Amino acid sequence: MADALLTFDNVDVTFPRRGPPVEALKGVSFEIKHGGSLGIIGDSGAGKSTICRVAEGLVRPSAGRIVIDGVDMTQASEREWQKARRHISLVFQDAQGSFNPMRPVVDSIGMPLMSYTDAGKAELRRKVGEVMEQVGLSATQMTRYPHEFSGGQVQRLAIARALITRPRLVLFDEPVSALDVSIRAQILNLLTDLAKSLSLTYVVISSDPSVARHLSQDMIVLFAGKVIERAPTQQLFANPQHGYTLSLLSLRDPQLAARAELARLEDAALADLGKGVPS
Amino acid sequence: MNAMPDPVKAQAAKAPPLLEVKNLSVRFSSPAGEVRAVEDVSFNIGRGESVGIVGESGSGKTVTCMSMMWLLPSPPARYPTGTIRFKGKELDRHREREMQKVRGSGIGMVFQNSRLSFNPGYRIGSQVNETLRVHLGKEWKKELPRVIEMLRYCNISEPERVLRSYPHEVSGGVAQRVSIALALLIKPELLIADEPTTALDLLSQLEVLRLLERVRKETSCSLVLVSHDLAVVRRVADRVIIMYAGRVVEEGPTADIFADPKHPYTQGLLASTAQKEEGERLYELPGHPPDLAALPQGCSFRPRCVHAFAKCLTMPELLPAGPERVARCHLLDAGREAAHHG
Amino acid sequence: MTTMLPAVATEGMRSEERIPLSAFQQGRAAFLADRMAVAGLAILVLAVLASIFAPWLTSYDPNIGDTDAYLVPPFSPGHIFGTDNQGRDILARILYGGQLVFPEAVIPVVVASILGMALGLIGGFFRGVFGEIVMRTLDVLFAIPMVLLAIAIAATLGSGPPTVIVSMAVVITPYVARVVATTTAQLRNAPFVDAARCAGFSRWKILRREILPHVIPAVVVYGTTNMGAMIVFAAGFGFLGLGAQPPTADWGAMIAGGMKSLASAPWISTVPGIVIVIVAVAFNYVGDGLRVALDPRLRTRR
Repeated sequence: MADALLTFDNVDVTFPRRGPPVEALKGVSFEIKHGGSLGIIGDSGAGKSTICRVAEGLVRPSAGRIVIDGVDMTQASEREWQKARRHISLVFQDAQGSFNPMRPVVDSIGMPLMSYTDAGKAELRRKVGEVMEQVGLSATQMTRYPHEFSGGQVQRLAIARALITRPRLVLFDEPVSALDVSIRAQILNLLTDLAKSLSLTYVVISSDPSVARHLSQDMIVLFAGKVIERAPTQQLFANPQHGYTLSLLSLRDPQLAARAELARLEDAALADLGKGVPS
Repeated sequence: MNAMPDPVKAQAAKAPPLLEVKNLSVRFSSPAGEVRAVEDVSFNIGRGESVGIVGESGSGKTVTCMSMMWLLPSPPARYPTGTIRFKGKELDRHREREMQKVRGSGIGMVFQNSRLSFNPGYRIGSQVNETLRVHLGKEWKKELPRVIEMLRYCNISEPERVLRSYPHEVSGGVAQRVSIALALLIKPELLIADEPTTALDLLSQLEVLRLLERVRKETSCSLVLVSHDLAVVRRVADRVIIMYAGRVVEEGPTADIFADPKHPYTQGLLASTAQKEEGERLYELPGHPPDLAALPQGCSFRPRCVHAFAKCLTMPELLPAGPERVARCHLLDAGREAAHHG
Repeated sequence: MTTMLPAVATEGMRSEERIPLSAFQQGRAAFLADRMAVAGLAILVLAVLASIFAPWLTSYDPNIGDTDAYLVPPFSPGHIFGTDNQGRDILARILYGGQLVFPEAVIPVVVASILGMALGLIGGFFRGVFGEIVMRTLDVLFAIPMVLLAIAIAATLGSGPPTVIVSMAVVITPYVARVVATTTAQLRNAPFVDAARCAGFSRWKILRREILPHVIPAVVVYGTTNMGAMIVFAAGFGFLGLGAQPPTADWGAMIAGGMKSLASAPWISTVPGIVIVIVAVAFNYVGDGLRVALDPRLRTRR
């Protein structure tokens, strides 16, 4: 436990609503070691984004413990979270939406510097320029507005903002799902390069197993708020244990899909899910 | 090499194609200038054939798909050229009444977000009945048992409950399968599905895919599947049409194209989506798709192409690229010339 | 226009990059590109200047009629807009009336915009008790018809231009606050607000830096497009006799005064009516121009 950077210990999250509350996460446990990388795959509504929001302190768990770098954050106040957020960056699923359309991008990328450092205006612009060059953009573009950038460029901007404080942990929520197929590889390569050159510790959340496979050493599979499978990435792909995992993996893998026995397994998995949540 | 059969001609020789799209161009006006959404697109859909149209956003695939049934309101859309024949008969886009008949009887359509294509204020069942009544007239009540049967065929386990539900009460996946069932009920000769899996969660994608595969195997219905998702098209289509910046850039049998792509764009797309292990770099297509209001001179893919040479400043024609295959690239021509001289 | 920009040397700027325009320069260019907005602004500036310099533009007294020139029709020599039933020059009354009407319309809108913005931001952003109190108080004010409320306030304060200003400000504030509260409530869960929280911003800072830039254009546009309605509204006070007292010139009072002789001398009512419409429409076009100028998504293209 000592070398874990982020630990989720039996975390439950419920959202109140009319009628029975929504259980977004149920007993979710995992940990990420310093320098490690974790892929979280699962369907929409499985709770992937909720994990991000809990790790950022935007959503509080209703049960369980969250430990960041040895500090128990379960009962932390908003002020303590505000400090902790310096070290945990989140790259939002909706990159375009995570930039204020009324402000030039330099303002949005520089936000973390404004709160966590006493950098002056010139220093801020210099650092924003640096980090923009680092993600493959030109520093001269910093005075433009978000809508003036293409989808791939906005994703780069979002990555730049996440990296500007040199965080200990970066959470990538669906980093390429909104992008065109021919742009995805550009962003995935950028992430691979940055992970190496900055020795990042990170979490990749994706509904496309191949994205998580490409970027992470370990993997968990989430279904209806529960972790149903956890394994080192290569092992998970070589030998998925759960029928649901197999279904997920077969969707875009023609070799897996072509296997005749797989169709039967798929049926079994789907029938399973029809009956209820697998445990 | 010159004896290479022209795929279009070869098919036409056998039987008239079910659907024939010829020289279709679609344009829109925008503040930035004229948007050339679709440029001179021609293709045929044979009987019982399943064809995938693949492209990114702005490739013109959805506009092409909507134009196949003249579904885009004009204006704003403008059609400088283009004829569409269904079973050899030309569809006149100015005759809305006739078009409605064709759309309703011979052709079924499924869209990206089926939940939105149902009216939220009525139960799904009443909308299904309405559709049947419009298509079948007085006889529609006799067909009601077939509705349940068809919903079961489409893997909906409790069809009665779904018919009693309002659109917001069912999942996106169920709504998508209901709309496929509805499209199949009218026994179409052609089913057009525009991004049918894109808005769905993974398991529903799998179900819809398997349903489409089943339709392809068990019925004689032709299928047009429009998608950005190569894996989806690969699973369902016999033949693939790749579009880029409003034009067809490559066309051929699915297996051949995935095994040996001829156009540099297809090559790049396939290479960039090939699975690599953790930490390995992927093949990267440089740049991004062009602005349709300001297309580059010559080949639209030229600015991103690693092979680009002087000749690429003129737009290449679709050239034969193997058995029943064409690709829009000067390299094919250059290769042939080299073969002739060498 | 771009040639007049100072050449700002930015570090590492490449020659092919365009010189970035400041937000103000972009906005100004967008506004000037909108011909109707420029025309509207020109009309308003002329109208305001004409009101201020009324004594220099006309030699007639707006309140004292010429007994020899009753009901002179428009386009007569010496009385381009004609005279009313007391022989007062209508052009003079319109010019002097502007001195009352413009402040009566503009001051309440400005006051209400500031008040409404503050209330709306708090009501829309903070879900706690305080926000609830603000929103429910506004709801109560909405339940009372606008005109009735204004008349009630005017009745307590007595008639006259200050009364018009105060009661109009009170009546408009809830409307502004509602526009602001709706915008704010929509934005409080926007991804970029979450991003600001993740970047360590406090809630006040988010309100000021992230949400206020969205709200200000909404309020400015709401204010200017409704300024026309406010002129009509202020004129309504005059019409009801709650504004300026006779014989002071007031556009609304002028319309009211001419009603009796609408059949025999229609110009007494219609001339001020046309002026009100022109000014109101001008404000609308200016508001439209500002909407584009203040929104970076509309004023720049990729």
